[in-house]
Amino acid sequence: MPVIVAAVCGVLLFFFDPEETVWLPKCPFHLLTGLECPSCGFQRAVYSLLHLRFADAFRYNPFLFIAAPYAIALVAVTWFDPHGRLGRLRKLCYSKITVYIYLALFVLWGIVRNII
Amino acid sequence: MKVVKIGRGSGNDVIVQDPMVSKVHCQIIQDDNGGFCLVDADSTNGTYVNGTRRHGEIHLNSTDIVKIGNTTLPWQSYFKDAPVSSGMPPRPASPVAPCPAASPVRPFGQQPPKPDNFLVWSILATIFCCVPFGIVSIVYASKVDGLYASGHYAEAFEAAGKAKTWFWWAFGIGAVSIVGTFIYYLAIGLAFA
Repeated sequence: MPVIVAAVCGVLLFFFDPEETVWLPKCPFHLLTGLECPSCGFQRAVYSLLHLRFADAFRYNPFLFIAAPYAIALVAVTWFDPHGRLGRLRKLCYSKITVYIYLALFVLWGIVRNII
Repeated sequence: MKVVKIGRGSGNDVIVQDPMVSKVHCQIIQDDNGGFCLVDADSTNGTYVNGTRRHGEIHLNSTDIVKIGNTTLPWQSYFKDAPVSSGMPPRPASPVAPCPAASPVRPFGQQPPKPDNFLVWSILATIFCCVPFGIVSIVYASKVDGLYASGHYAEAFEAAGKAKTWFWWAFGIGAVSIVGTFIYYLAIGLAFA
C-alpha cells in the first residue's frame, strides 16, 4: 500500500510540473499565513529530482535532503522489516535523540527560510 | 511465580551497568513449578545462553550460562530468597502466563502490548504540510517507547493516543485543503469553459 501511494505520487509529479499546474495540492499554511512552512517547495523539489535536476531540487527545499532519507528509513524499518534485520537502523530512527534533532532542524529551517 | 527484569535502565529489578546491555534487555521468570524461562526483550546486542544467541522465550536449566553484553548473569542467585545482586529487593511478581518450553515469541508475558507510537505517521505529517500539529504529534510519539520501557504503561498509551489524535488533525486539515483547492480550481475551470 505505501509503495502504491508513493508510486502514484511519483508518476503525478513526474508528468505535472508544480510550477505550471494548479491541480497539485497547495500548502494550507502558506495559503493562510503567506509564510513558507518547512515543507514548502517539497513537490517542486521532488519534480526536479525526478528530472535529475539536483541543484534545482536543493534550491526549492534543501530540508528535503534530510527529511526524505529519514522518512524513508522510518517507513522501511516500520513496515518493510518483518524479520528485524534492520534492528540497528530501527533503534537509530526511533531514538529520542534522532527525533529531537529532526524536530529542532525542522523548526529552525521553518524560521530561517522566512527570515532570509 | 517470580519475574526478574534485567537491563541497564532504572526500571529493572537487576540493573546491569554495561554499555552493551539494552535499557530493557530481558527477563527471567520462575513459574510455580520451579521451572525457569528467559525472555529476550528484542535487545540490541542479544541474549546468549551457553554461547548461542536466543530470541523470544526459551526454557532455562539451572546450569545454563546467560550472558548479556559483556556480562555473565549470576541469574540463579536472583531466585534465592536473598536480595538480588543489585541490592534492590525484587518487585512483587506480576501475573505472568506459565512459560512453555517452546512457545511462539510472546515477550513479557501478560504485560500490555506496546502501543504503536505513531512516529512514522507524525514525521510524514510534518513533511506533507500542516506544520504545527505534526510537531505536537512527534513530541508525544517520542515519549511512548521510553514510558513503556520504564513500566509506565498507562502513560505510554496516553502519549500514543495523543500522538494519534494530533496526527489525525494534521492529516484531516491537509486532506481538506487539498480537496478544497482542487474543487476551487475545478469550479473556476468549469465557469470559464
